[in-house]
Amino acid sequence: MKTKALKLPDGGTIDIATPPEFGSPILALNDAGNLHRNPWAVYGIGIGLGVLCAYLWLGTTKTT
Amino acid sequence: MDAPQTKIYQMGNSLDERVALLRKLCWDTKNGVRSPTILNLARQVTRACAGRDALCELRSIFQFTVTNVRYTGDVFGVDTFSSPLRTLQMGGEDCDGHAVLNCALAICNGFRAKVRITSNTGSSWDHIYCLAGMPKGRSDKWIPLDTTLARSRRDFSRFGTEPPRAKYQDFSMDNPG
Repeated sequence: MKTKALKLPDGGTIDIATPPEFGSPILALNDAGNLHRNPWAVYGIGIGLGVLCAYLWLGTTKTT
Repeated sequence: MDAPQTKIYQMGNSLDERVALLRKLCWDTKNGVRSPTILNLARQVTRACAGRDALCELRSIFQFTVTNVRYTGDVFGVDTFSSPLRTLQMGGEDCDGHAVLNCALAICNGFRAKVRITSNTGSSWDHIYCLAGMPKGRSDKWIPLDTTLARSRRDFSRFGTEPPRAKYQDFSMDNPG
């Protein structure tokens, strides 16, 4: 669990936990202030990386 | 796997309905007044004040919110509401987020709180902020906590001041039960 330090008026700090969703780069915010991860965007990044790796791997095998 | 669904609250445009939602978020079990996290946080915010120094506690709450929550706008085209903990986690909110957080911190420190919704010109409702009752228990006087007025994260000079308005309505933030 990630934490965030908040500054207190007396100069101290206090940590609050932030949900794991905050680690995701792609978030959707609803009108009640709740955060949700958008899995389709994550799938899109995964598929894109897979295609890129396959392309690089095929390119490497052709040249050797 | 199904994609998470965005939670949309169906409600009218009346002030009563909107304030009811803000009150619910303020007193939320997980992210509001009823959460041990918010209660502990509220007590730490005022820990440097002497016992029974209520004005110091309100000043500390004002200072804490100005320092940690930036004033920013809603998602474009969507009236966005946030619970106190969410506002702190995100570090930025518009006037209703500031109002709910300040009310929650005041309530957790023993104050009675209400929100004041104001109209700039008299033709629409434009702004909201928290007021805390002084002294605790009697609430003879209401101290405004409009943390959106601060010009910077270190500007605490606006404590106790209210923005100009043509008209206003007050709504209790007492326990909705």
